[in-house]
Amino acid sequence: MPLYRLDILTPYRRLYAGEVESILFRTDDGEIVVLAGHEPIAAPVVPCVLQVRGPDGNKYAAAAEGFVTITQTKVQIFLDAAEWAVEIDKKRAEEALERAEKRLVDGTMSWELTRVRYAAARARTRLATVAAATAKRSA
Amino acid sequence: MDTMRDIRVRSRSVKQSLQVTTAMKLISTSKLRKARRRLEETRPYFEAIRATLHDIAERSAGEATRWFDTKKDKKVRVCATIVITSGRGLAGGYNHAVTRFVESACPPGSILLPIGTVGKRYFMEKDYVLLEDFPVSAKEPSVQAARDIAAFASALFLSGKVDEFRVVYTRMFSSVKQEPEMISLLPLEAEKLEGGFHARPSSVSYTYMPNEEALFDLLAPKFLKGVIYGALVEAFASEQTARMTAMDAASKNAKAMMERLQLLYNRARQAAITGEVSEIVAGASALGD
Repeated sequence: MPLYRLDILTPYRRLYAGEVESILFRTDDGEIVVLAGHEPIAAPVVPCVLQVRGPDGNKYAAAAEGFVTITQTKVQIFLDAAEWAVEIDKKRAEEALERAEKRLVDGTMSWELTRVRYAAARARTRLATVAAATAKRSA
Repeated sequence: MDTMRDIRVRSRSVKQSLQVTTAMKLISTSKLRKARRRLEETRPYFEAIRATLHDIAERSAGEATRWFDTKKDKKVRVCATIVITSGRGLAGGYNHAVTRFVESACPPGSILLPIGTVGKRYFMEKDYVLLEDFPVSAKEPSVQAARDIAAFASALFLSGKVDEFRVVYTRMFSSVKQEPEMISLLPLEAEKLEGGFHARPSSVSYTYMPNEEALFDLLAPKFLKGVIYGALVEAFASEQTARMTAMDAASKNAKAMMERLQLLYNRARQAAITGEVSEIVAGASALGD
């Protein structure tokens, strides 16, 4: 598979910089896989599991919201936050999800609702990332 | 002349001050190191976002104009300035430099948005309109804080209440030179976005999903957040440097004072001993007669 240059940038750090075969992420319209020579687009990215396929296998990361720009030569993904599967504290994410879901069921202040929903979404993305990474490893 | 006791009390208080200034210096040194690292980590993101925004702006068909200057011919422009100061004092000339800069750059009656309590307290007493103030954490600036500020500014701008936003922050040129600087935030200007990015091939034309305007609306707040966050981090690093220098000077002064007090103390002790000896001698000679 031909390789292309990928940069994943967040305000906190540069998550990835290097050559990859493909990357999978989710936009408003659904999941997109980008291979080398993709049509140039600029699109928003919604919270999802990123799957980076490089020369040394698959890597998974949890992504917050952001956007992507694709040119002939390289792909840049800008995210508000992102972390690799190995960096995710599974227990903490589970607890966070539980807490958020409890809040949603029990009801909470209306102004807190959005925040709680986001927290739940974040935790779910993290867990999905961990699940995807472990599934691949055992397979 | 002070007695031995007076000097001892003073010397103890100087010693305590010295402990405080030394500790503060150490703290700001480590915070500065952190801030510098943060600045380096965050720079690639914002430089790239800026380049992308410029790319889109340049090739845009003019759909996303609401972030740009639509009121060029308007006579009276409402201009607001975001002023970044520190949350705590004892930072040498850091805050003073910023407030003085603002006073010379903004005529009385201007709208200010102070960030940091020191600036807020100062401008409250002056002839300025404070629209809203934002506290800063003493630990380090967060992207969250930058987002809140950016959201506030863009809401005011898009609703047309404010025509222009500027940021005053302290730029760190080197560890010995920090100076206040003003940058313009809104409206966006295509030429200004460029800022050092010319090498990009402009032949690419993106397909925008879902469309250009929506994407621009997504990008612009991220860009603003980035500029504000960058300014916050830079100001934070400057603040720590200023505090470090100030505390270093204070520690040196305290040490010099300790030495002087020690000398005075020794003299006072010697004087007391001499006094006692001469009393004894005088007493003995009185008895011997």
